[in-house]
Amino acid sequence: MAYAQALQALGDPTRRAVLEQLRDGPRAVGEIAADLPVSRPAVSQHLRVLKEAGLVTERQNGTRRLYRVDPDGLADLREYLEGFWAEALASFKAAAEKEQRRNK
Amino acid sequence: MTVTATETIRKEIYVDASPETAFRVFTEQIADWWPLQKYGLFLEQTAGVAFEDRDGWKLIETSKDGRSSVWGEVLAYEFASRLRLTWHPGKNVEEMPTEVELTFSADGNGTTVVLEHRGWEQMPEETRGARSGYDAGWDEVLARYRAAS
Repeated sequence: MAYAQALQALGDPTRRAVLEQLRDGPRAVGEIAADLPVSRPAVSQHLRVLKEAGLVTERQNGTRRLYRVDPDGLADLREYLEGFWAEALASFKAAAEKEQRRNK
Repeated sequence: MTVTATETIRKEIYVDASPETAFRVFTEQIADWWPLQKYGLFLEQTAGVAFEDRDGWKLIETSKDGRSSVWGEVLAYEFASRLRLTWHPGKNVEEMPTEVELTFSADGNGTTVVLEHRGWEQMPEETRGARSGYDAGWDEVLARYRAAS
């Protein structure tokens, strides 16, 4: 299931805290680490996982590397889950109604 | 910016069937309607999906070559009314702590089914711990409820 990687990335509380740090705009690793009880290398590691899951993007801004939330990544995940359940439930509805007719 | 992906997903559908039938089809006949070819872990290799009692009730997908994968573990089961399970296909609950709750309510001649897929942040503290804590935690809640009512 394609969304699993993003959900798994968000399954770690520290990683969620890192993502939270990016809510208000792009930030550098050092800035994120300064606001969390986590070392800078650990923050880098979490950012890498978030990036691989498509939830965060990075760009070079002069000498600084800035990270920001990838809104497409989050929207994709959300959209995937919405579509996933809509389809599963539509299929369930058809099966339940068929079963009900059979029992009448 | 809000991190909308972590909010609860809520789906509501009306089913032209009794709550009993709807609940039974959901729990006992899930292999008949779940779109396994698209939303399964084994895809074309799938052999089905079912709720099975393997050291507690779990939703388990099996493959043609005998592999199996737990999608979630049942936390609450009230026939024709409510089903709540952890949801982490192919992962363990610590890796992907989400849960799904379904409620079945009589509505005219049919049933309204509401599904909520909750993320980590809405997970009650008691279900966040180790798997072994689940059943005990829920039993305790039910025991308190019974004592209070």
